[in-house]
Amino acid sequence: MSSKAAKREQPKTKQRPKELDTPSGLEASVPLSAQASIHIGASTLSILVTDVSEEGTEPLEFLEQSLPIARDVFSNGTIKRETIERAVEILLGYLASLQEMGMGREQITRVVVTNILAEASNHDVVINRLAVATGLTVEILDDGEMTRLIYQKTRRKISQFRSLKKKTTLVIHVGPGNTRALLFKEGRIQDFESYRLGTHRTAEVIDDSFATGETELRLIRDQASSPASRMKHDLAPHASDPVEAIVFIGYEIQHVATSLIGKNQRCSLSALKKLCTQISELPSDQRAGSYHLDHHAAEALLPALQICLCIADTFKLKDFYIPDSLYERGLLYDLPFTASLSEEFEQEVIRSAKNLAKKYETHTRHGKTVANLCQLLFEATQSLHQLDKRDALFLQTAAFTHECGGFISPQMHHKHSEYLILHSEIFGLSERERTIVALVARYHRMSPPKLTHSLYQSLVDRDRLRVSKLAAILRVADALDRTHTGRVKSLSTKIERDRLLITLPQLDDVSSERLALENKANLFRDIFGLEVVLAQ
Amino acid sequence: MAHPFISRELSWLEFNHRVLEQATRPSVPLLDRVKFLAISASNLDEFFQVRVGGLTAMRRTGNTIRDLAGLTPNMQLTAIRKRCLAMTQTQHEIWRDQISPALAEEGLVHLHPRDLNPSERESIEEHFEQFIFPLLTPLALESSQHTVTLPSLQIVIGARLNSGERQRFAFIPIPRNLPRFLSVSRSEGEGFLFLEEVVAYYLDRLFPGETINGNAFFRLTRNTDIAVDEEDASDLVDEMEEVLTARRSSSTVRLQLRSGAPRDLVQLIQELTNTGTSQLYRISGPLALSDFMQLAFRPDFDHLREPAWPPQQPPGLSPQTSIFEAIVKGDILLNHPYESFEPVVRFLQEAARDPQVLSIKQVLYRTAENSAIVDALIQAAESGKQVTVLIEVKARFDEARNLVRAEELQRAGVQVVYGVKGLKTHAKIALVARNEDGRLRRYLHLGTGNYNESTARLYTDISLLTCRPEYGSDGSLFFNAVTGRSKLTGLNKLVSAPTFLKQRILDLIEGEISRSEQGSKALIMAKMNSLQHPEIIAALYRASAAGVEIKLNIRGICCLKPGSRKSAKNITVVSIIDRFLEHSRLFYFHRGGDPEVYFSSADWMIRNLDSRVELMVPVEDRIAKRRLIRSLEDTFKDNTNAYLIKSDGSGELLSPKKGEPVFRSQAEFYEMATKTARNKAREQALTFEPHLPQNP
Repeated sequence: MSSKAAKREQPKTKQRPKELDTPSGLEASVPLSAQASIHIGASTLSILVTDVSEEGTEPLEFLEQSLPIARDVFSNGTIKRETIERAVEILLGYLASLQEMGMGREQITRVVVTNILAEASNHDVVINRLAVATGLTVEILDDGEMTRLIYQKTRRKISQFRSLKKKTTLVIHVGPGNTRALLFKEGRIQDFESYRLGTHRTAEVIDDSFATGETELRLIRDQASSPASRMKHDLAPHASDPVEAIVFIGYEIQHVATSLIGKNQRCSLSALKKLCTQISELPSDQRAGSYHLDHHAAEALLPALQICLCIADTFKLKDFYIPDSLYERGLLYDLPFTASLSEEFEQEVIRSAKNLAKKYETHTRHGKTVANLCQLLFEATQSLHQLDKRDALFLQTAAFTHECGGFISPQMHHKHSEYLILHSEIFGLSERERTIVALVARYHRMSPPKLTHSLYQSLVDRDRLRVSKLAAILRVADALDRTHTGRVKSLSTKIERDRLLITLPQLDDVSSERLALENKANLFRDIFGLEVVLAQ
Repeated sequence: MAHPFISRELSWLEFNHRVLEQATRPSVPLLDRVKFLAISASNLDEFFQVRVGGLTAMRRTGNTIRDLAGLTPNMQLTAIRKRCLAMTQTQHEIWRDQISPALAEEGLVHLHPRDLNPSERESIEEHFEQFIFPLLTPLALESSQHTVTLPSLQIVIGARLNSGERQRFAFIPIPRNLPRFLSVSRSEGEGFLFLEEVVAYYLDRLFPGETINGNAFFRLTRNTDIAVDEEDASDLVDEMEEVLTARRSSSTVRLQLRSGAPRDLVQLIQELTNTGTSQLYRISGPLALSDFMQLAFRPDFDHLREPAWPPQQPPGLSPQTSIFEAIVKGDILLNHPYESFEPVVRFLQEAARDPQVLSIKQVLYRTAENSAIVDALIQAAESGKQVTVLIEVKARFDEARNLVRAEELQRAGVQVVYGVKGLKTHAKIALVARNEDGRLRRYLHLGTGNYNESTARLYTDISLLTCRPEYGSDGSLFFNAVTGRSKLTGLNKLVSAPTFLKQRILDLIEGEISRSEQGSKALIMAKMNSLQHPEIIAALYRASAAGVEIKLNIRGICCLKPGSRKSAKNITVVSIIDRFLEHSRLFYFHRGGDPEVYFSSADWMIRNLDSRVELMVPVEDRIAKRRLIRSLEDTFKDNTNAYLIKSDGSGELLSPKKGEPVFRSQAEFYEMATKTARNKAREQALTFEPHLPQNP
């Protein structure tokens, strides 16, 4: 290298920004009350910085870069090295931007990556590389949380449109790998399902055909029609109870929303059909330029729109709703809040658990009583377990569903419960969370948690402890309703040296509960070191 | 049907003719006429370097692509030559027959060294020996095979030398770092000599022992239309330096030759510079009229110039007020050069010193020689602030200066970006981010002119200082996009080229068309330097045909052909040539009585809308919007310096109609600025602000 060139050489962009943890390198002033969230999506990597104040949360900055995650996953089954390094480069750029705003790494609330990454054989390599290069912890955004995000978005949308509130509304998120459908009745979630039908998944399948025009549209329809029919069968099986409105959510459909929707954010089926035909007639390399998309996102544009068209057609609706906001922005805006549960959301999760319990014909009153006692015990022993609101929700969910295994056989029903919960959808719970619930339900009787139990072993330490604590409480609550009569409606507790003294008011004879406790309080004693004693 | 477009090159030549016409106007003070003469020459120099350079290269490669007006490169070059021959002749006639005699009458006399009296000659000779001779570097041509590389845009004296039977030729470039004019004080008035005539007079001093038996004054113009191949450029700076070197020896597109040169010497110069007759311009007068700017701005003789119009301090921006506090109170719109550019400089200087400022980001396209703005950026970086500067190293004719600037800034710790690959970044934007008690507030300067304190005194431009959050967020995204950190996704308020700007303008025009078709009043007013984009022009024709009233104020190139046909009958095009260079781009769309007003860094040209990074800014502040609308309306009232553009592209100088008051828009704007500043000063004189104790 010439000396002149050496003199001019700039610091390489791919350097970890210095001093990020001491913002801006200036004298410390009042730190900026802002936060950021990052999403590594199917074809983009984006960041949203928001100003957080008493008045609310206002977007400050939104940055987005193209990144072909979906293309790599669906064409190679692995994320290419160059894609990983591009992600590192983009993230370092974002960190530099935060630094310029006087923000530190601690102000990044979440860094999430689309769940299609889990389908890449090297997804752990990707997450590790990003952590090492940028110092950021990246979580895979699983189905449960994705559903939660859609729920949050939908609640807002439904509250915005009164007409939707009264209608049976299907909210469809056409994602890169999967399509999620949430059925709302009178503004509350009724049912939800997930289908293996996605924009990029479909794009990859039809890619080799090099088809355009009508042939391309037909190929996409062929992919979408079967899941769409199943969706109708699952969510609106009876003609007497039809879906009255559909809301489509997704990166691509929201991107073209402004050209589709008229008043009230509604789009007609014919307008979408026309747009699909127009796009199908464009050579693939012109689609990006014409719709201001990068090439990776443009590949999924037609599949996304055609899937929506096929679904709307299946449900025989002449028009539907599309939010006029940008999908990525909305997702990043909601991301920090999915961790904190809203009252409505908790109720939706519990409703979903109750539906599951009902499906497997459990004893409703017992479930309700155990759930109530669990709640009382959870609150009373807060100082012992130190778990949070979300854990309380897991306990409630397990309480309602712990006996569903009885549907298969009363013998070893705790193990059947584990299996059924694990393989059912519970609205709003991620796979990890469902695993916790399944295990808590499993340990409501018989063997306590053991490392020889493979599912229990698969959990991280923190979650194993969580399962043990919750199962210990569930066992006590279950013992207190041994009679399945629901006669224990309230309780009070007192911690006395090495025992937890439970008083059951309005009950004169507690002998059957005491007997049950003798068998089921061992786990509580082992975990919390307290003997559970029923007061006379 | 006649072609619906005017040739870009011929339209530009018409503009230059309008500039030249100012040099003939008796109402314009004499030295200002010299200035216009010099500007017209300097404009032509650049035109030959770039436009003729590009067309010549196209012709050489056999390119027959036709321009908007249907002309091939060859046809354009023929038309250009015809127009330029006439224009050059006019320039010299104006100098010789009008300005030079008028200057002599005023006591400023052009002298030849042979006209000097002995004492004057002695003093000039002494000056020559001391200051000129040491800087002269003759280039000798030793044999017929030998070649010399002659400089571009520099007067050269070619000399035929004899010593005994031996004959040889030498070329003496006249140094550009010496004043072109040498003054000679006389009892009445003053004389001035041309530097090249003094050098020629003493030429034999350079060649002792040889006889000079013939000389020729000439000046070359080389093609500078050589751009970096950015796709192959691994290091843009190295590539740019190579381009600058290549321009020094690129092909000659014009040879200006002062008449009276010996035929063999002319032939030799043509051979050496590889120029044919179609590039040869014989001049019967001094070369390099662009240097006459030195004469126009010479000290004294102020009575031969229009009185100065010093920039006024905008109200509410006294030096005691923090610029940030002032911006928080409301948007600040500045109309330069009537209002001072100083607040813009102060915006960056205060930002550099302010401990609350976190970062400063700016685009620099052309900067002043000793730029206070660059100094402020350096100071900010040195004091630990995050400073990012996009410096456009591809800015034509400023490439070398910008490379030096970039190095200076980098040394101070500024993060420098050399522009965007494949596009020139022409947007005028500076962003300052402040931490105000834990909340981020972003301040923006947006403008139509460069961050150049010198040209800001001569060009009419608009500045907006604002801290509107949507604008701040857009500004931030813009910088993240041009520095490669983000895609340029949808902006809230600002409109950027090349992605969205053209479409937005087309949509706005379409909006007026549909209103007109529904019977509503529809009006478009636009002011810009050049209008050349065929899609926009076509949309304007459609709008005119639909009944939309279109008023265009276009200083330079206008490829739209006005006229009485349906597609143009509702279009009026005027062009203002006055003491300040009209440079602001302002757009007004009536929108059924709820008008939208924008200013922009972009002209409506292919290069601006399709291959440059530009910004268009909506003005939302009620007062600022009203001011801009009024200023646009005023430019269409001008009846002293406005030309009405006709269908052949030529301009007809407007004059007040019978009973109509004289209206000179630039004078009006200056009057408004002074009146506002005066009123503010009066108000301040009547309102005292006491210093109060902190805890009464």
